[in-house]
Amino acid sequence: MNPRASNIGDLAARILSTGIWGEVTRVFPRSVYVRSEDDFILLLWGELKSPMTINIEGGNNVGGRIRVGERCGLRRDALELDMGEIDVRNAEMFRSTLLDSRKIVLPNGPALAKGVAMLRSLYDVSPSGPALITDPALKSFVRGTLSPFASGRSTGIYSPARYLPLIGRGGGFTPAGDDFVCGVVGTFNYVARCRKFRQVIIPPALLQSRTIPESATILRYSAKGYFDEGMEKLILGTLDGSGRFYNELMSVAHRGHTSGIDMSLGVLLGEAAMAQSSGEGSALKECIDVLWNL
Amino acid sequence: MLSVSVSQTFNVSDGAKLPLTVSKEAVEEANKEAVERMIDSEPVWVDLAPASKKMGLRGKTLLHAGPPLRWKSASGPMKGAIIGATIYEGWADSEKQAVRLAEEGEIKLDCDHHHNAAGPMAGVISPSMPVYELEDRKFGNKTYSNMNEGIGKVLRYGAFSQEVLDRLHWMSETVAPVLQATAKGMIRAGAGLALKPMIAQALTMGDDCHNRYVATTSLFAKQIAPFMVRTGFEPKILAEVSKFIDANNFTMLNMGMAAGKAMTLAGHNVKYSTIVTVMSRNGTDAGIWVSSLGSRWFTAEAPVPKGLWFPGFTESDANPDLGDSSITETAGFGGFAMAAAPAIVSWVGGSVQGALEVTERMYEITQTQHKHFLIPFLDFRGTPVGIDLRKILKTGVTPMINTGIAHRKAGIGQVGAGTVSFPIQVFKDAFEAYVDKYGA
Repeated sequence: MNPRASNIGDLAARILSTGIWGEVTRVFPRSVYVRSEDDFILLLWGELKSPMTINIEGGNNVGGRIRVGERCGLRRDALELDMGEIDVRNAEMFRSTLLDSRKIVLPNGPALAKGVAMLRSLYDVSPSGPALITDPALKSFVRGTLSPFASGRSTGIYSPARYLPLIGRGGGFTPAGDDFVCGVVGTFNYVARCRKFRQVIIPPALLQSRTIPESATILRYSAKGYFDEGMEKLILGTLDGSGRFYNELMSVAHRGHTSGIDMSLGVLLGEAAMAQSSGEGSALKECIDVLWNL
Repeated sequence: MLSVSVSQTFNVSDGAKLPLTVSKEAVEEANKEAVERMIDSEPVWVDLAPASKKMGLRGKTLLHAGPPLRWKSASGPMKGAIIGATIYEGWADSEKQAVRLAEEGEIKLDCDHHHNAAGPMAGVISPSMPVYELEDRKFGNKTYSNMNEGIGKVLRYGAFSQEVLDRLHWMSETVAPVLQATAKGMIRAGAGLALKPMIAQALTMGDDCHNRYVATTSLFAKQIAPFMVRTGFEPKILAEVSKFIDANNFTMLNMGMAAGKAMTLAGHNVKYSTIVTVMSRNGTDAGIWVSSLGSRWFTAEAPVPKGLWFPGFTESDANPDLGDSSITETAGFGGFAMAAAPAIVSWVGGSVQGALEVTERMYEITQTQHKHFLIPFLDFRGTPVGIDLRKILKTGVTPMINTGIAHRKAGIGQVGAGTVSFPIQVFKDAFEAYVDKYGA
């Protein structure tokens, strides 16, 4: 019996349905990356749903038979690979919910600072230590780009060059700096769509030479609002006006090397900058105090 | 002494106050102190006497396992144990009358942990039940547990038939006096039974000291024998007591739990510490305490264990997890020492490799390795000890517990044994409370 997919992300379905074969580029025990032209999708033997992911039931990589270089495409009822087919007939579509605008409320400073305090504490017990938050590139970005924006003194946040020192920076499969930028830009642009102001655009060509292609693709799509379900819940939770998003924050914190906390930190600091720029308190300053001014 | 560096409280523009923000070094120092105290604790068995005398239980009070519980939300096995204990105490002479007393609030329920006690499964302790008393020779705390009845149809699994109650009375009237006299004899001889070295030795003999107490019980029988024979009881009585100990490989579970309670209690109430000092379940909810957050419970729905079933039973018969016995994992043995007990997989399911992997995973969420509890198969590496809230949330790995499985209906008893992961929600809630109190 062929293995079966339980979910297909809307982006993955689109990318693999163009009629052009994708190619397997990386194989891990429970995940496989497939490139299709400039895009990547993920085959995942796990439950985390995302727009770029096809979730496959069962233990692992179909017994380890999928190899780098083999072809992959979505054809009617099956995901076709050289090693065989994965049945997608009963797979549910995972649709991104951050593509549409809705009424949002930015959280206040204390709520955000509490979240930052949690993340800082989790950096303390990461195997690699608090790498990102001690990186001068991050401090420079926060103090040189987010803070002036929060104070209404600069529009540097729209300059792609401001993000580049963070791209490709730090440990993990997707570098920590990339994850942070995903959080900042993805959230910023979502709020911008909801409130109808200008979004940040980082040209893909600027990313390619600075990071791995998979991470560049994730960055590109997160800027447009494509996040996995955990990050979606976190972003929506921070913006629903309740000020209660800590459960969602802790649900993504264990991801990857430090990916979950890096991305979440980007979300919280991005929102803090926007909240402060809206004249609502000193949210970013409070977050910075928790991060660095002990 | 603990010394910390703490920033000042700061006010924000809307008048809300952020908590003090404690430094990484202060948390690490606090955790080190909490876990060192756990490791340095020296519980010794000093007595066995009724709970009314040792713990001051008065009136119609019953202690139970896990976080606080009301009769109406109690699970089947917990209700069965409460009914049984109510009849055992003579407060009721039938199941119906016992249920009525419980429904009318005549029976006061309280947590074992609120009285420095730990009881397996339902963990019900009533005033006249004999309890082991352990004294921590290092830190002075006294901790308690009831006596183990065996497996199958027993009170702690919710059975309350006449056979169960008769056994409890016999244990109280025949076994307890002999063991009390034995304990006192050992103390008089300056040879009080020290639990830490016994657990340490048993871990090298194939026990995990939660769901496998074969070696520990043998060590116990060996150590008490010279003193038991000098208690002056008739040989017939001594033979009966010896036979009871020999027939029940879980004889030492309860005392092991009281030892775990003494160890974790020693590490409790250390300011700024993120170390978990209680993990427990009552058959409805699972709950924890954190060292620096006092006796505040953080609870979530208790999960149903996976495991091996006694003949005739399946997972559909299983009650959600219950018992204070996860105090053993909290103290750095039990499921955390599964790599020391390969034979346990024949009781709880899984594979030897799986047991090894459980222990390996627990190192990811603990503060350090135990100095005294060593695992031969891991080149005598210390067991993982000191569950750190932060590490659970950073890794997504939750503590793994070895456990017995009770039937979900009152009156039936044990239906299997297995393993269960503690629900992550309790750790999330506790961590948020920690940040509210101290920052992070």
